[in-house]
Amino acid sequence: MSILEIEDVTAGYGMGPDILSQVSARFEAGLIHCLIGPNGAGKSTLLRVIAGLLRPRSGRVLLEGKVISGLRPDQVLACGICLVPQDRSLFPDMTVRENLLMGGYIERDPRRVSRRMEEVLDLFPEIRRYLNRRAGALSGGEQQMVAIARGLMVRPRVMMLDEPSLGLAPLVVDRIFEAISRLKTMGITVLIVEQNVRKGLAHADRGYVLDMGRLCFEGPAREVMEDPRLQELYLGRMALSNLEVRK
Amino acid sequence: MTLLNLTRAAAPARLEARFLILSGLVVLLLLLPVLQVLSDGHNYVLHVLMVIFMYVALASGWNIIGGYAGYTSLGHPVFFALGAYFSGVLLVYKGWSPFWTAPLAGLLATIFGFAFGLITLRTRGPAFVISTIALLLLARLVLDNWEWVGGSNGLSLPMIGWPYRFYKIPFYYGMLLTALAAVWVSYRIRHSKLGLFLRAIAMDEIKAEVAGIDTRMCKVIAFAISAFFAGVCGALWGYHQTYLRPTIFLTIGAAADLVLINLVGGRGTVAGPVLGAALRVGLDELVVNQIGSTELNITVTGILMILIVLFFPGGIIGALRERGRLPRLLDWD
Amino acid sequence: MTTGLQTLILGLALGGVYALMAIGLSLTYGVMRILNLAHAAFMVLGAYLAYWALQIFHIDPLLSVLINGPLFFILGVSLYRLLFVPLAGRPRYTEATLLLSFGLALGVEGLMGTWWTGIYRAANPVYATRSISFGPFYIPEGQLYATVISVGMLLVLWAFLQNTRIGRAIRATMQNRTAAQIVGVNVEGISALAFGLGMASAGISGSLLSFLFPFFPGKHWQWISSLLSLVVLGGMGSLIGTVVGALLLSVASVWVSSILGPTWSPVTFYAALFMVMMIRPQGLFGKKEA
Repeated sequence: MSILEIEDVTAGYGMGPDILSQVSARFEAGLIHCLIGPNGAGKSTLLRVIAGLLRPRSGRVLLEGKVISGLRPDQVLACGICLVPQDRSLFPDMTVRENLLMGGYIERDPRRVSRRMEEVLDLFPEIRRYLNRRAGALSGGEQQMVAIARGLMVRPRVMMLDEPSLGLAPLVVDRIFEAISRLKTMGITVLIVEQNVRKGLAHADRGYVLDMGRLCFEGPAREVMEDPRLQELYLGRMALSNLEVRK
Repeated sequence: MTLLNLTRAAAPARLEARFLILSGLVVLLLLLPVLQVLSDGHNYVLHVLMVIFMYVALASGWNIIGGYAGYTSLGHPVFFALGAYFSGVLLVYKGWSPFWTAPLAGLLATIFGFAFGLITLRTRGPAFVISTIALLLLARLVLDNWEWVGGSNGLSLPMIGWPYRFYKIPFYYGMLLTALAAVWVSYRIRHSKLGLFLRAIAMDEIKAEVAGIDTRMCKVIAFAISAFFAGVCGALWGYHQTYLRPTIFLTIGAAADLVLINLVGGRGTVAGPVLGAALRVGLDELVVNQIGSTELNITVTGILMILIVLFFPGGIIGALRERGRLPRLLDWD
Repeated sequence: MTTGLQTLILGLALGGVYALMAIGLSLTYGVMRILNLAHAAFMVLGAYLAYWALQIFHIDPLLSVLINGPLFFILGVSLYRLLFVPLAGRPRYTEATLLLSFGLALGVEGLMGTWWTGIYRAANPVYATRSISFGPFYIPEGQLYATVISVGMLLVLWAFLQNTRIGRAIRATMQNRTAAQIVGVNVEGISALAFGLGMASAGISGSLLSFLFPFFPGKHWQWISSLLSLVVLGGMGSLIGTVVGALLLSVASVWVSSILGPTWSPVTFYAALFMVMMIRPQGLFGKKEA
């Protein structure tokens, strides 16, 4: 049963060219989906479209059969889809506690927000240690944890993570992926964009390969990993870029 | 295919035509004072044209920093006043004619602009405009209280010793030459590497920096060049008015004029300030001088500015170009 | 020693008022990168309204704060929706808004000049000419009231920003606009609110200005350049910086004024501005990249 559907989405920024062209995909409830592809393939753009930060030029996004493309970001969030962007987008001059409070911004009842914060802190107890520190002063791994925890404040049904392992040490990356696996046990549908193909697919149920703004192929993560087309895509690119370097 | 060939063949010919028309216009303007020499009664025409030339020079100069680089300056009246007071003081105390000292006044304004730019153009963004407002008010304060140059009462200059019938003519030529020089410099910069860098700065300064452009130096040089013409115009205009007073030169209204002229004509285009200046002076003569000047003028200036920013951000030139209706005669970019 | 302390007292008292005047500028710049050149023009408009209220309806300027605040808030929200929202998403947004607010400042100045003419005015409530002394020190009574109101308003604003959901959203939008959108803040609504609050601060401080300083329509240019100078000193977009900048420069200007005379006290602001731009362009509390 698919929870989220993308139908023929074409999108781009400002007056610029199409970054995504005619992308269609389905994401299944409760699974971890990993979006991979070379730089500039349009992975982050796809997440921005789903989150309502970028309006598609054509096509639709459906959540459980309801059209959500065209809604404002706060309305999409209220539907239960949250995004943890690449730069983590914390509020640097606020404390971690305030960042979590901001995560629950769309909930107006302060008692519910603080109850939810306790729940989230029970899920990620390590955050309690730096609850009163300035978010800008945390390490990259800590910031990523806070960003995920902040996303959980709205009890999302779909959580999208844009390159959660970017710039983190291998050991920290393992901790982040462990946290992502915990999201799955909570029944949350997860979409990850990952540069680290092997690691991303190893933790995912399904893989989606994007190239040049199009969806090339998709399938169970294990099959995608072993698909010769994947090798071709990355190796071909590498050979090309090596050629350019030599020139 | 034939169409392509036709346009290709026609292009140089039309370029020629444009060149001929424009140089014909310049020759006409150069010869115009002959009328006044032959028969009296054309002083008004000469005067209006002279004022237009002055605004062409001022606005084209402003455009180099305010249009190409996109850094709005409200401090240009300071360079205007600097030129006027420099040449005026030399006239009063030394008897040197401003016609000879005007280029020096421009040079002084350039040096001053360079130094000021070094301080205030270090940063990106809107702090610059703040510093130019401060500069304007500071200059006003200094001149209002500096008794040696007349303080707030001002400084009276001796009249030019020419008979009434001919006395507009040297000012006419002075302003015309300054205007031509300003447009020429503006055109050359627009088509130079500096112009390219400045427009890159206007579009996205961070990217321009990343691309390795010394954005600070580009901005400072643009600002200094743009100050030159204000200095020269100030020297000539002060002499023409025969008195210098801080309230005439150093007002935000004067700065707003330059901004508005560029906005109306088209900021960042070569022809924009020329068109804007002609319209500004023309309308002034037709409307304002009939009704009389009121405080409402300031309001009209403000409302015009708002409307242009909202609906015609490219000014006349930009709006015409967008619709593909810009005559080649006015396309100097 | 006594004169030094006296200068400090007067300077800090004045600084409280400057801080209220400038906080709106800082707020609108911080939240949406709009440098509102019309801020002081609306402040002077507020002063005229307070002057009118006193002359015609005998409403004390301290009370007209309660009229000006809401009135300018509504005016600000409407102006934002009418003029600034259409510019959203345009390339070179900050510059377009700068020119727009410049036009707005000229428009308001001209209207004030037409309506009230260019002569100097000042509201004259009874306390405007009295002063209170304690020991060897004194403080003008009007100044004292103005300072108390300003500090009160700033504390209310601070509490609002720190402790309420909407206040936190304003701070969040100042720190990271995209992140604010991601957590569901309607940033357009927050922007309109911030612009309204900025204008309300202009209206309220206008009421106080009406009896503290004489004013005329063109006076707002001097005010805006002084206020912007102290905002730059504090660091553009930093509210704490603005308050600190206001206190520093007001003390300095009172001191300069006591030595060189009041004519030269604005020079303090300009000198500070140029010095900051030379030494630390991002200001005392500013971030480097901004």
